[in-house]
Amino acid sequence: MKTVAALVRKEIAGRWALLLAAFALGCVPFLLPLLPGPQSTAPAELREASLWTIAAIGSALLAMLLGADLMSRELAERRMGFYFSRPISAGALWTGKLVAAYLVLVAGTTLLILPVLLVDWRHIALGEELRPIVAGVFAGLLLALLAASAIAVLVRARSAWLALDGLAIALTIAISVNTTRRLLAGGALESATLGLVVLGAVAICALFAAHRAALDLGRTDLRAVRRALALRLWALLLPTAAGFAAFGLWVLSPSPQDLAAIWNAHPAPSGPWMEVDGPLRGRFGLAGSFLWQSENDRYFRVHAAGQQSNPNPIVFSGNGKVAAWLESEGGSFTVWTLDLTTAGTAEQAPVKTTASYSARPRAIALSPSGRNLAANVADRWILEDLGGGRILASATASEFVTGVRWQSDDRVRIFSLSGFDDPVVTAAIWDLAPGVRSAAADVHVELHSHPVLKASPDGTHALLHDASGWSLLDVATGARVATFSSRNGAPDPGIPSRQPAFLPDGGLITSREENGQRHLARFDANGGLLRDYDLGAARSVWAGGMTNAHTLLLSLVDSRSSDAEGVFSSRLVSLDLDSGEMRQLGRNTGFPWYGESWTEALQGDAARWCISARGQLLYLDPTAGFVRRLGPPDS
Amino acid sequence: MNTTTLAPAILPASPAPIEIRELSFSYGVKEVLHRVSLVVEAGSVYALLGRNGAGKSSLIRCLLGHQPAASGRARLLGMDSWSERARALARIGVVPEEPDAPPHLDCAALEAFCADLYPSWDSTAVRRRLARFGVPLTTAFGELSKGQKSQALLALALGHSPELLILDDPTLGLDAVARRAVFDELIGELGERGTTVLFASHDMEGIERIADRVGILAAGRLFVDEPLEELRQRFRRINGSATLEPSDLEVLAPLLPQGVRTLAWGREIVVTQFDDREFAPLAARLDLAARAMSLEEIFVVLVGEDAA
Repeated sequence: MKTVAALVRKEIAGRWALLLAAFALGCVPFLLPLLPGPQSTAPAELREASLWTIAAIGSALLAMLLGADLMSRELAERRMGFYFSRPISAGALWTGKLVAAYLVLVAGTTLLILPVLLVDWRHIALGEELRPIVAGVFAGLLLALLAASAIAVLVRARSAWLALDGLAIALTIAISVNTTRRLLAGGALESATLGLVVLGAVAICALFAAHRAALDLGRTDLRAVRRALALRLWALLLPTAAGFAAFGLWVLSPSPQDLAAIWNAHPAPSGPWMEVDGPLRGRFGLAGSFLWQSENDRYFRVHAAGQQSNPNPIVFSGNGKVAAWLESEGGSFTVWTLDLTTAGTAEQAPVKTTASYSARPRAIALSPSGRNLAANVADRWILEDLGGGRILASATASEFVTGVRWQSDDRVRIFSLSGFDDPVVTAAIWDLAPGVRSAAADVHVELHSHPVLKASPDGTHALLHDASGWSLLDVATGARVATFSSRNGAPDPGIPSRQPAFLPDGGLITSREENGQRHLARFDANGGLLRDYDLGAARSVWAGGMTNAHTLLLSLVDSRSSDAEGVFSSRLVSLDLDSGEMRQLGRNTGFPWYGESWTEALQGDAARWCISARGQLLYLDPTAGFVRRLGPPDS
Repeated sequence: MNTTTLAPAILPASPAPIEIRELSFSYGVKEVLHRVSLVVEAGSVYALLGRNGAGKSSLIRCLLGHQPAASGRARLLGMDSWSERARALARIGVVPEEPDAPPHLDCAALEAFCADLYPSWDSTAVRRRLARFGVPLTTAFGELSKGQKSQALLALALGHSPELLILDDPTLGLDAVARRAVFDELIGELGERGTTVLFASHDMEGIERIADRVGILAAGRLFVDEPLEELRQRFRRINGSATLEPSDLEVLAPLLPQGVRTLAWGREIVVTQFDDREFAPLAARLDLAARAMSLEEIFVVLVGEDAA
């Protein structure tokens, strides 16, 4: 220890000039406001802006200078014998030299920022959040110091192997940068950060150990030091970089079976495919979004843009044969499609379409055949031919979209609300088709409070709500064909389950509470009452899909408040619409899809999917009941 | 009154300060040292001689653990010079061929640095030596003259009163005054403390005054390793009033003559195994005279251009 301290003192003694130079460079920001030219920025802001640039450049230069001088210079000038002719071990020599150089580097970096910091400390934000950044900077400086030393040794030795060293450096950097880029592009920010931290830590340890071993084995001989350094450095760094690349590949190639829980599941309206997403097991906060087919576990991972903020990142065509999603690329958002008949096989080939937007679309929807796409971008609706790459129609529309229903492959009906800042909100239903914004279904209705607009599955009817209650609108004529009294379904906008909802067959249901009992009323497509069902005691009811023409799934919520894990106690039941018979299927299990206005109500097999409170994706088997298909195993 | 009788302790024999066995070293495919063996006994001064490129510095670098031997071993004060280098060097002083101290530090800083490395450091003695050499304390080492650098390094090498001193031609390139100062200091050190010294040098005149034993390296092989006095005893120049003929070599055969050299004033024969009893009758019969040779003359005979 005494030897190391002596070495540190000796090394620092010769480097005062560097510290003075750093301090002088740190004073440069004070000169900038004195420069001639227009000064639109306040001097303090100008100083702060230049401070970090000067600190970054200055500390990098300092690291390179000190690193290059760490041991290669004395080796090249044959002066290392001075230390090796004295009772100094190679380890102590290396440690002493490194500690001294690092202390000078840290002191120099501090002196670079100190003058401005002392004067402008009130203006410069130095909060708690800076701690990891400061730690990262100091670790980065150490890495830069060690790397500069290694490069200086490799270069100064003038070995014939220098080209190979250069190749190894280039390979290590290329692998690391490429892996980081791929991880960031895949949304794996935490994995990229973790990988870089580990890679940096390993690089620091490898450089430290390789230098120490090189000095111990090569001692005063530069070429022997170079040989020992290069062998150990590349033996440690190349496998680590390869390990990082493998880690990146592993992180970015999860399967649906790796989903730790299911956040959302979105079955295609028809066909076996569905979209599932959720957090991935052991992948450091990364979430995955998949197109998945439960029958044979075929899947395709989608790198959908903003999958957690966008409630519906993947859309299906009505025939269930095409899926589309958005990927962000350099600030723009591009639509990708996948032919689901080939998905999950070797022939699968996602297609980057010509549909690309500078702003994130609020919504996209595929036509029934999957040939055309409707997108709501900024204040515009665009109808595009994905195969031909042509825009079929475009219309300005700044409304809040509540539903999109395709009337045919090249005609889409938009359900929207506008004027939320005004006393009167307008519900608008209109068609977008080749030509101009169509007036064929151009309906405008004024809503005065609690405005709600819902589209029927085929888009021919809409449910409207305002202060006067709920009414059913015929889109073709714009006439209100039915209203719902409080007897049939008291409006209660705060509890969505009490709102009327469309069933897949175009019919309607509403719920109400009478004498502590929950009742469900069923109406035909024109609002005529068909039947009233007594559901028993329940706080509220959520409607699911119809597994067949006469079976409706319902979720009955029993409790007023959630438990410690945020779960409301509920029962999932099937209701036979013909007989009124109710059968309990499970507890604390909900319906996986979302955006009931956006998504057409599901029926058949697509309606059999549910998500348990634990995040399991369950399939309602007609004979076996609920079967877990994805998510955490049964406890 | 109880008395205790102490049994005489059986102490292990102290290891020789320097012990080199079968040491070989190569630069790539070129063998620089070939199975060199030598021992420097405690308290002796060993002069390691050889022409430029003979392998002296390579041998010393191996001995100091600066570079690993290809085979064989070297021990310093009983310790392996490669694996126990740092421990051994705590008791050894070294002066290199090329002054290698950090050029930006002055002698005061160098002295202070070395003081932290050795427990038995004597700052006063070092500063006294530097003053005696006339080396300024506050001048950067890089700005000192070649002679001052060597003197400064010698002062530092002696600062911890080493048991062993290893000098790799420290007087190379020095003027006569500086050379003399170095040797005077060494003589003083030897006289006071009896330090063991390994001295590689080209300065035959200087080293002849202090060496006990001589080793001569040529082409990586140590082909002379004997006490200086014996070496001087067995080498003689034989001159005769009459012209010496090659046939006379046969007469002098028992003395192992090296050959007949023709000089401006006549001819001479150098014998390498001089024996007074053998030579006396020959000298009388052939009118020959034997003259003692200096170490430099012996060295030239052994490794000079004419050496066989």
